[in-house]
Amino acid sequence: MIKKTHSFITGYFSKYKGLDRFSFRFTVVSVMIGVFVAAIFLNLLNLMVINKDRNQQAAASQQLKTTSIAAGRGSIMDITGETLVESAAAWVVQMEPKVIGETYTAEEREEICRTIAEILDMDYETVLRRSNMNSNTVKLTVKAGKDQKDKLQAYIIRDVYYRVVEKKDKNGKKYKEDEVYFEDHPELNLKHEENYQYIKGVTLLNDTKRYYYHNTPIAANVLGYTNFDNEGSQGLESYYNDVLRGVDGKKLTAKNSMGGEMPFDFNSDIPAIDGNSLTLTIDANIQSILEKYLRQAVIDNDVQNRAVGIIMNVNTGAILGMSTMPDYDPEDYQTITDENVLKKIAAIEDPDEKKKATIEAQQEQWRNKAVNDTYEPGSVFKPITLAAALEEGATDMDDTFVCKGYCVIGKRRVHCARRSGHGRETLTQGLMNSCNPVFMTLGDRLGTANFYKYFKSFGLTAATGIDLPGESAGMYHTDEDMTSLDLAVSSFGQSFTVTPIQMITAFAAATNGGYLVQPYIVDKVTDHNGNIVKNHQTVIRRQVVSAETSKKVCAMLEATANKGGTASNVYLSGYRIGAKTGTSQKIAKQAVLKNDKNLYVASFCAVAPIDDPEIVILVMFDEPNNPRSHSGGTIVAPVVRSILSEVLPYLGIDTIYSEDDLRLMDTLVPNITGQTRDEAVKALEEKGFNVRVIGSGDKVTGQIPTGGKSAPKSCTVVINTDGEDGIPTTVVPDLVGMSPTGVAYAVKTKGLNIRYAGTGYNSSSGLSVKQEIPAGSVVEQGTVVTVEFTVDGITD
Amino acid sequence: MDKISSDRNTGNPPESRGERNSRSSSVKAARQGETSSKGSRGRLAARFLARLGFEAHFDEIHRPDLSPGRMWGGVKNAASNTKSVILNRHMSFDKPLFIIVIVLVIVGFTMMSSASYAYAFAQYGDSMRFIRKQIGFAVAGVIAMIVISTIPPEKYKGAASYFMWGLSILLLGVVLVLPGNKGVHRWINLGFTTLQPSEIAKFAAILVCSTYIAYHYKEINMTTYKSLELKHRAARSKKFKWFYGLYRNFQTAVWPFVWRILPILVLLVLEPHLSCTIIVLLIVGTLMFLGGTRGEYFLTLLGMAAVAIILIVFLGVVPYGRTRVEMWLDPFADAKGDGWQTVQSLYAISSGGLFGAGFGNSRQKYMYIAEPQNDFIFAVICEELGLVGAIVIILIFVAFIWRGFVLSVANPDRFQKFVGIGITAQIGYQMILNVAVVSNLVPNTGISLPFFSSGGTSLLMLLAEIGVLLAISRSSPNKIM
Repeated sequence: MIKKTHSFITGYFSKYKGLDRFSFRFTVVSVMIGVFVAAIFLNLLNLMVINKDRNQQAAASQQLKTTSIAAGRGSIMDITGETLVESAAAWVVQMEPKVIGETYTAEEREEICRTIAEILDMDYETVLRRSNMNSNTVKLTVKAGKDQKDKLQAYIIRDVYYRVVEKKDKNGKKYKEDEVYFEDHPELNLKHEENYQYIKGVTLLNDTKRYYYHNTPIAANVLGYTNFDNEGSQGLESYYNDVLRGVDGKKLTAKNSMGGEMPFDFNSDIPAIDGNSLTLTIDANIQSILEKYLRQAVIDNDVQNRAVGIIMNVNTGAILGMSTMPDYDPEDYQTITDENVLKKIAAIEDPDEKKKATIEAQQEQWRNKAVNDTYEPGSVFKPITLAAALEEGATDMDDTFVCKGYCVIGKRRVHCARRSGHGRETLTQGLMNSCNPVFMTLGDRLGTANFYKYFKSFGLTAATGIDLPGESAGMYHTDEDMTSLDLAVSSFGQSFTVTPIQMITAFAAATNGGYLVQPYIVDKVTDHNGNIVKNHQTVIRRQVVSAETSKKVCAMLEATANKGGTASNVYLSGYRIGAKTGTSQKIAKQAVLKNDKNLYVASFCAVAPIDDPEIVILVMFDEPNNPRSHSGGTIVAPVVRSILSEVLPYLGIDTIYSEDDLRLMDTLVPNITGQTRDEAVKALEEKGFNVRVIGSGDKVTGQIPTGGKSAPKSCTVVINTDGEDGIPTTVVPDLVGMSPTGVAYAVKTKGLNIRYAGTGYNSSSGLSVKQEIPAGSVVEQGTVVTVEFTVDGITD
Repeated sequence: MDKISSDRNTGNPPESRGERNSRSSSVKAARQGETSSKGSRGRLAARFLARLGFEAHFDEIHRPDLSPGRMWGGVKNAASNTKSVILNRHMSFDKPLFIIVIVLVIVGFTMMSSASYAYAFAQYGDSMRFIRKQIGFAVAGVIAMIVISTIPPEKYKGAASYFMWGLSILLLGVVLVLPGNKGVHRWINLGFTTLQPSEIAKFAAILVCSTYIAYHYKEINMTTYKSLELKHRAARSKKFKWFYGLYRNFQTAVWPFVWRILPILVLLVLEPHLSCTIIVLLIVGTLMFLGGTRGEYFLTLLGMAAVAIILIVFLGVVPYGRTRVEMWLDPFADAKGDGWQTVQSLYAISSGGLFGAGFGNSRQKYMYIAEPQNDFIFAVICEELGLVGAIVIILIFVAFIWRGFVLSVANPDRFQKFVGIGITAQIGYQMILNVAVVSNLVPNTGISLPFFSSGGTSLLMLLAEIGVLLAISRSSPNKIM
């Protein structure tokens, strides 16, 4: 007989009254378990669906290791595509002084430091001092090259066999040490390790280094530099930092709690986007030429404060060259290059003051003074006043003025550079003489409102907008607060300040047909594949004066740059150049500071070729200390002339020579030695040379200048027909400091030939400044002596 | 030898009949033993034990015959029966339970493999370490389960239970003497594997409690006490009756359990093995509750538990107790230190979301979760299989509990009924506690998940217990669908 017994459900309906105890209690237990399970379900639902985010994110963030993939910084190229700045791999070398201290004895440490110093080309004392520093890690260098890295790695990382042995130190405390062998000893049961850290406490980290190429670094103040963090600081590196930097990528890897990798592929790597590259409008060759002469000029003229040179495309505003002297090496930007400043800093005794002075000097040398700093332009500004006056009809080419040497403005006399006055002069002569009263008159005719209107429209009241950081704008009188004295002085470029870039832009506007262009330095931005991201279009901000006015200004500037003009020192045979000089006295306050000595800013601005302007160049010396002169026409013009003499041929500008130029130009002297006397004379005269025959032989046995050499066409070739006696010799006289006629006479009397160099040799105010063959040398007659002249006594 | 037939076990008298027969059958049996076995040393021992309160029932059915011939016969019997057990519908054990258990073993082994390999590789350089060990024990366990299911469960009643009880106390004593690991004495190293006496102790506790309940059920549940001539008015008052009933219940339903279980609990606390202590308490509590211990004592127990919690949490009586509770309330307060295990487990659970990262794709098992193959395996399951997978696995457990309960209750033999409920409840409580710990529903006690956590002897012991459960289903006359 099978009896019905308790079960889950039937217990409720058992034949006993109510619910028997077991069934009731069993139900209670079952329900309790059910409640527990339900609680577990709810808790899991809460954790896994409703409130999962916080924990999920925390889990992900502890599991995921984000490795940053550094984006390559873009390069900077010049307009020809030559690389100026480039990033390449470099290594950071670090030391861990504590580890070294614990691992090595003093002698071992010295040995290690000596070797590392040798490899890294560092000072041994410095390395040793850093290895003793009380910190966890010390950076030895941040920019070790590949060679250094390879050498260092070979030194610190070895292929070894080792085992861990327990040793006791002098206190009896046990410690573990690696016992390293270079060969295997099977009996010792050694571990083999290929990348064993043989020298402890020295580490190498990957990094990148910024290389500033081109034989010597160029355009430092324009390019700027990158700091320790590889971020652009100063210059283009700073201005275009976001463009050059690129976007760092991310690599997601899963890591376990020990930091090791988990075998998961996330497919979520964000690749690094390399920075874009800049193609500058700067031409490295032009920049080099500019820097070469500017650097030399700073030395020659003992420029105390700064020298600035800008070469710009006059029509587009593209900067072809821009330089500030003294400059610095962007790869070693902290070293102060100016020796005067270094001497001054060395003289400071207080260490705090010294540090402050060093930092100030660094800040000073990093400035791009063509853009960041202002100056009083002086007479270089005169063409602007002139253009304004011509445009407003306040004067014309046939206008005449009388210069008494001063003008009375209110109750004050404002003097001309030549105190005796220029007398009666045309407008062109006014500019050629850089006559202040003429321009004061023009200013007066314009009136404050008109003057300010043109001042403003020439872009002298606001920054030009060039793509360089920290551009400033000068101080000036507005039409409201301009007195008649201010107007008079402003007319010839004093009492206000502009930046060199503002000045050159205004000068360009006056000569390029009247268009004010926005100067720029980055021609195009290309991505790492070479695709053009951005192409700069010339921005013409406005037409300031008419093309006609501009033509007139150009004509007058050409006259100024030619014989009789204050800018005639720029004269370059074969090229038509228009130019204006400028010399401005720096404001008295600074002068007082420097022992009551007057301080000047000498500047020079030239446009070439003046009949169809292509480039404009501005060179400015702040506080030249040349005992001969401080005038722009005397000391700056030859520098500009030298620069143009290389830049204009480089740009392929056509040469047109005048008769005089052609006569003085060099031609090849034919080799006539061995020919008959008549043949030789005929051949030389055909070439345009004069001939002087020595002896009465029939055959030519010698000639000076020798065949194949070049000599000016005007020179006399000495030929010898007597086989036995040579050509007579003569002593070269002292030719420096003489007028051109004096030099010509002295040379001729000695039977020598002359080659004219420089400017002013065809002018009465010319002065010889240099002779190629030193005085007192004994040379054969007919030898060509090159003598350099300059136009002297220019006051502008 | 046909002990599988159920006719002998159906003679369990229903409770209504025993209301008047106030004498407990155990006392009667002891008296019988006393009278019929003079001179025998065994009988003397039995009498001594009976004085102590043991149920020394030496009637034919329950006497274990340990002679070699009988044992060999038993083995032969088991081997021949195994075939018929599986094939013969009427002699067979409960198939659904068997299938559920096999599913749990397979799923558990699979998840353990996934959870353990990263940890095994990191710790031992051998990702297959736990997997290899576990598979042997799983196969051996299933075989042992089937073999044990052929053994009639009434064999465990009485002396066999106390034998098991004594053995477990002995082993728990031995393990305390043996050198421990970081002050924890839990494992006896047998060379090829380690043995946890606490696993045996749990089963022993179920057996002794069930034995006691089976023999004293009526005594425990007695409500009128005629033997007492309560002539005094006061004695007849309702209050006194209540008090007297309570006193009798203490004598019959509290104190016997206390002294049976106390030595086990004390040894477990000394080990220390908190989770096993809790499990034993829970199982014994459940059996007492079902056996008829009065509710007043459970209320008192609850009160004592409250006091204990107050002592632990606010007074810091138990070392680490306070930090554990603090870590339970806010594990993120010290996520890198004491809260690490819980925090990492919660991270894993939440990372799973609704459908999980996919099998084998847990990331938290890579050294974040402490022993991912063991106590925190459920966190890995949640991360890999998601809420859906976790709920499915819990539902398999629930199905197991339901089946275990149903077939236990269906068995008319009270001993078998209680043993079956005890085994089922043990597995159910372990599962619930494990999931609750992993999901920070209760403080961290380090409890393993049955069938899932790695551990050979533990799995073997579990499957052996399931074998007993299957035997109970087999010996029951009431087959359930």
